[in-house]
Amino acid sequence: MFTGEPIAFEFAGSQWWLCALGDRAVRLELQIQDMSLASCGAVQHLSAALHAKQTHFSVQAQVPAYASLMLMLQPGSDLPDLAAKLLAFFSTAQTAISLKEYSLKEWAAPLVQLQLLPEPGLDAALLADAFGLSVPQLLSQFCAAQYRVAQIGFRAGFPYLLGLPPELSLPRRASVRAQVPALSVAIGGAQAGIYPATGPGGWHVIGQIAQPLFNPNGFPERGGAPCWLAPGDRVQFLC
Amino acid sequence: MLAGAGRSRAVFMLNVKESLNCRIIKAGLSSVQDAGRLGYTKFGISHGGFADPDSAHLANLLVGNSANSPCIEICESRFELRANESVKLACLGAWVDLCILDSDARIQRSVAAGSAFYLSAGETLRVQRWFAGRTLYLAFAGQLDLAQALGSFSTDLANQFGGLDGRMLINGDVLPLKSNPAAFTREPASGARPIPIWSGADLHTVPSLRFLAYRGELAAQLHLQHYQLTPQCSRAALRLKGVALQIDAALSSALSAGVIHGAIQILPNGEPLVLGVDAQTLGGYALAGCVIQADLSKLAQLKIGAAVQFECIDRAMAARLNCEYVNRRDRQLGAVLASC
Repeated sequence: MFTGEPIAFEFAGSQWWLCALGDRAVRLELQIQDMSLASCGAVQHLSAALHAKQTHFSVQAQVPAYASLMLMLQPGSDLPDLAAKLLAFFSTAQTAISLKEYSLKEWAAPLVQLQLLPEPGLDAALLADAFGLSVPQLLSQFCAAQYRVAQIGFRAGFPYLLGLPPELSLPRRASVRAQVPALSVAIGGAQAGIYPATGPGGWHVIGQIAQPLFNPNGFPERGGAPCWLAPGDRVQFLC
Repeated sequence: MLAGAGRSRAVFMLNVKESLNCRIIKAGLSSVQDAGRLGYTKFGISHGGFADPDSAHLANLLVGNSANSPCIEICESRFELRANESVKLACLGAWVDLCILDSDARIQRSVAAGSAFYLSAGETLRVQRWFAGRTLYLAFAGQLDLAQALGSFSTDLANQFGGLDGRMLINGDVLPLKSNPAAFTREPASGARPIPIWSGADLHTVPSLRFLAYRGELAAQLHLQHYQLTPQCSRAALRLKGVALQIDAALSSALSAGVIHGAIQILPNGEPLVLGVDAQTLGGYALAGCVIQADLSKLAQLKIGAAVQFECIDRAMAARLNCEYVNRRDRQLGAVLASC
């Protein structure tokens, strides 16, 4: 009988917890919770492996995050049943094969390039000062790094990007700015992100892009998806 | 030249047959909602939709629509709507006093919530008083004639799309309606009794929100403590005040992760915040547990200021309560279908 207590499992070499989230969802959490490219890769791998079996598991939707993956159940389906099916899936050898397939796909995935507008962002001078750089040096260091979308949330299409060079990380602003302009590229602690629409935000704005990130009618170039970026995407900024 | 322009304009106006619509006179806190949108959570788009689907489904069935047709969802506030042609409506959810005003704004008659009724051309429906509950659904026979966005008519307020221009309704909005010939050939059943949706027991006792623990650390602390619903309530979240829980540093510095409607987050000050139907898909606060399916509609009906308790139950009890809830709901839907 599934009581809802977290259950430990292994998937493709990493250690996880299976936790029930109420009666309608489960969270698969990495036992080591960190914001690293390795954790993000493990979550993406798990997400892809389960996506292929979404119908079998009666899963309606997924929410990948830095070090966890949430699965929402279809209405009327049974959570203990899902837990049992998942654990059976994780204990099979198939996962090792899919890890190889996944790695191939992952490295072959096209890079999404985003052009920064020439005008530096609202906080570019402040950021450059904080790091002892000129604004052009700041932008070129920011653009030299390669980023990965770890999770999308806060607002539709807001990507949380891993890969910011550690020397460019800066704690969030002391106060939240009421109106961060749409498509602002920003730094918040060790993360980078992009505000899809104008609204409140506490991150330091380094620049702006022109490419819309959210379109409720869907982007035909993205197979009709409402967001330009998806979790797992690799991103490079051009300046 | 000028005269000619005036004449052609007049001709144009004569040729336009005014289509069926209704005008929002007082919008209060209202928005267009349906069953919500699925499958976009990984893009940060929440499921959304009816905050109290049980009431919305019944309202739709009463006017002959399918259960998940778009409705106007009204959160406790003054609301008035005028029809330009005769339209069949049903109001259901909170226990309210409804009246119909004639074109001179005189009260003509009162109508019972929980049954279908007609609004004639030029008449205004007014939600007069709110006795119990916080969320009311207004269903139109023949449906609202709006465009879907990402597979739903629901208004996503945070991301500003869906519904009517992605926003709350405002005074003066005109909502086009699709006419539904079937709805006009049938009179509402005479003497049809209103449907008691609101559980009377909850008005007299402290409503309890049953929940399943998330790893237990905070659930035991939360169990049966007394809280009060603060005015900081929206479709996205309901904030409560009361006993502050002790959160250890490890829990409050957790990475953000997926959350769902009904999840009980504990804020850094130790007070709970229950996520609503429009909650963000990711949450970083400590999680005490999650309200069970059977109590989600109740969440939408708690009044501001209401006393609330959280009752931590086990999975077997949750399964039983959910099963009873589904049976009760299906019986109610069946009874309405049989009476229409």
